[in-house]
Parts: sequence; C-alpha cells; structure tokens
Amino acid sequence: MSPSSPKARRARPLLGTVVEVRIDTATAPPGAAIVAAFEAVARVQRLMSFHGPDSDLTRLNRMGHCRPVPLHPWTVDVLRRAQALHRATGGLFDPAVAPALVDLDFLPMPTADRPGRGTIADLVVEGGAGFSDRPLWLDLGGIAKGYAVDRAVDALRTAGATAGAVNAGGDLRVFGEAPQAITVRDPADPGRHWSLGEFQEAAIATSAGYHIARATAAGPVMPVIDPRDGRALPVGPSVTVVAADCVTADALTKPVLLSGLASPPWLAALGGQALWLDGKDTA
Amino acid sequence: MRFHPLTLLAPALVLTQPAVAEVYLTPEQAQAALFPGQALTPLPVTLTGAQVDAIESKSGVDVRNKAVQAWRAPDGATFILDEVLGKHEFISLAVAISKDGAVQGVEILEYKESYGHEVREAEWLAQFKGKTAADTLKLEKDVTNISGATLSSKHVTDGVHRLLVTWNVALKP
Repeated sequence: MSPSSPKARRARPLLGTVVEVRIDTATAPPGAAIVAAFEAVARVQRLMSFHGPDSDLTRLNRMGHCRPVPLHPWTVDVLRRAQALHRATGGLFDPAVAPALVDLDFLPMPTADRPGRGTIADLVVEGGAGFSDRPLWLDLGGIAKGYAVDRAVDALRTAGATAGAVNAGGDLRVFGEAPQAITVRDPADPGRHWSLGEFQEAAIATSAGYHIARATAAGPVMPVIDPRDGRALPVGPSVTVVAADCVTADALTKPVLLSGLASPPWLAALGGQALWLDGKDTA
Repeated sequence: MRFHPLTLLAPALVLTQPAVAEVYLTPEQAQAALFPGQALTPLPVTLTGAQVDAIESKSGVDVRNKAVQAWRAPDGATFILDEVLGKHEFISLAVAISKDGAVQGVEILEYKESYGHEVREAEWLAQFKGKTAADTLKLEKDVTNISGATLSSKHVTDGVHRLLVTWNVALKP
C-alpha cells in the first residue's frame, strides 16, 4: 500500500510539537500499534521533559550532584548515547548547555541551583542511576525527540506494522520495504519544500530557525548553543541529517551546524550525511 | 538558493502544495477513539457573556466561539470538539475530560498550515514550468514526510487549557 493510502494515520500533541504516526502495511489491525506508538512517545516525554516536575531529568538536574538518582532504562540509554555523541563530536554535542537556553527563554527557569561550568562528560551513568560531582542542568531536547521516534517505530513493528513512518515535528523515521519520498522545509520559506528523494529504513532530522527564534541584541538566534563559548547560533541555514536511526539524526543536526563544515569528519564515522540549506532566498 | 557540496544527498527544488493539510480523524472517528464502544449524548451549550469573561480571565486565552460542541459519555466524561488558530496553522482537535476534570486524551482531527504565499505561488511556479510536473504529481501524493520543525503545539496546549476551564465553568456534570 502506498503512503497516499495509509492503513492508519493519527496525530497527537506531544513533545512540544505535533507527533504523527502512520502505518502503511501491517500484519495485524493497526489500532493497537498506534496506541503503543503514542504510549512510547508519551513515556519519553514523561521521563525526559525539562519542565516536568517529576521527570527523571528534573530529578537528575536537581539532585544528581548530591546523590545517585535512579533512572528508567530509557533515560539511561539516552544519557549514554548523549555522552557517546559528545565524545564523537569533540564536545560539540552537549546537553549541559541548558543554562544558556534558560537565559534566552528557550527553557523555563528550573528550581534547581544554577550550575557553574560543566559538560555531560561530568555525568556518571551506572547501575541504573546518574550522578555528577558538580551541579549540571541537562536538556535532552536535542536528542529525546529522535529517541522517542525510534521507540515509537519499535512499538509499531512489535505490534505488527511492516511499513510506515513516525514524524515528531519534523524529526522523522520511515520503515518498511517501499522507499518513501522525503521533503525538507526551505529555511527562508518553510511553506516551500525541497525534495531529498526516496528513502528506505532511514531517519531524517532538521534544525532551523523558523518558528522558534528569539530576538537578541545581536539579531535572532536559534536554540542551538555552542558549548565552546555558551553563545546561541544566529538564525541562518538549516541543517538536515540523515542517519540509520532518529536519535542519531536528531542529535547530530546541532554539532553539524556548530562545526560550520559541510560534512565534518566524524559525521560519516557515525553513519550520517548532512544537507545544508541556505537561509537566504537567492534562487 | 545554494547548496553546500554533497556526496550522496542530491536535493531538488520541487514544487509542493503551498499549504500542508492533513486530515487524521472525522469527529465520529475521534469519538470512537476516545470513547470506544460508548454511546455519547449531545450536550449543546452556548456560553453566556459572563461565562466567556470567566473563561478568558481564568485561561488567558480568547474564546472565539460561544457555541461549544460537547457530548457526554455514560460515565460522566465529556467529549469536546474545538479548533485552534495560530499565526500560520489551523488545528481542529478533540479532547476527552473525565468526570473529575482530568484530561483523558487529546486527538488532532485536522492540521493545516498556510504561509500566505499562495498569491505569489503562480509567479514562483512559472520559473519551474515544464521541469517538475512529474515530481509535483508524485509529491502531491507523497507529501506526508516533511523534515523540519512543525509549528509549536503551544496553541494546542493553550486550547486544551481553555477547554478545561470551559468544562469547569459551563460543562461540569
């Protein structure tokens, strides 16, 4: 069945955006698979929300420097992947930039004490718990959405879906044998799209300034912080990353943007490809 | 528009429909999804001016429509259909609220985006005439996989909050 006539397609507001789940082919009635997919996304939101008063992440940000904080296996998984990507990108991917995001009002002020300098490398994740010697404010906003997409695809497959897609506000993954057409929004005009071609078993994520920029004295900035100097990136080109899974694609858009390189050397090693779209309408 | 050097990704500018419009559920399907196997009774309510003022002051969100489309389930839960309008988007949604006033579920029925450039679309299209006709047809069919931020769900969150307040003011069983 082609994507134009899905077996089931639903959308719910989750993860601060609209999450769409689509099943094109399945070996079982799609209803239960759709429910399971949204449950997986909702669980990631509950565990890893920066705002949620009882999320794993909030407890870790508040108490992680006082004592080991027990974490759900999914939170452990995301934190370990974040640390691996921090190392692989030479520190350009770092969820510990949350204080700068709070200063720019991209994130609400947490109740936890404000940390000094620190990176996600200061976090120790072992025995199902996380702790650090110094206070940290971690924000998983740049990786958890992709992780949620991956868990939703797992849930769909487990429940009998054989082809379809999950799209969490533009971070998406397609699965199944039939190649699916993917388009990317034009950063200068998000109602216009660029065709990337057809993809099979792939994840695609994009970081761009439209819809989310904040005005500063130096011009509009994106919620992408350079861990080297704590500054937010000015709104400009968008970066789209294609990878095997969405957690990788989602996380890597930020370090690729910060690298300023068309294709940083570590990107291919992580199985990713990048596409820069210019923010200027010079067609 | 220019591209940085690429090895494998070779994007092409292809005209897609100027507005993204997706229909996920009809109102009847949303009722069945949120209240499976239950027969709902219509609960027509028209808000009074005083109720509108109360809802706006308690929710901080404007009430655009005094007619509330609501239904009651046998267990006292309430089903409300509503729509939210943002700068570029229109979203119609269904909310299920329990007898005790807790949100049981939210489903998006329809999501539409429009950036208001339909007017210059014809002019813009003219540059590509003859080049992309086949792809255009293809993409109109397959346009569902769009990478790049969707509009924030803040308007949806505000809308659900307004409906919870509306329930408290005018629909509580």
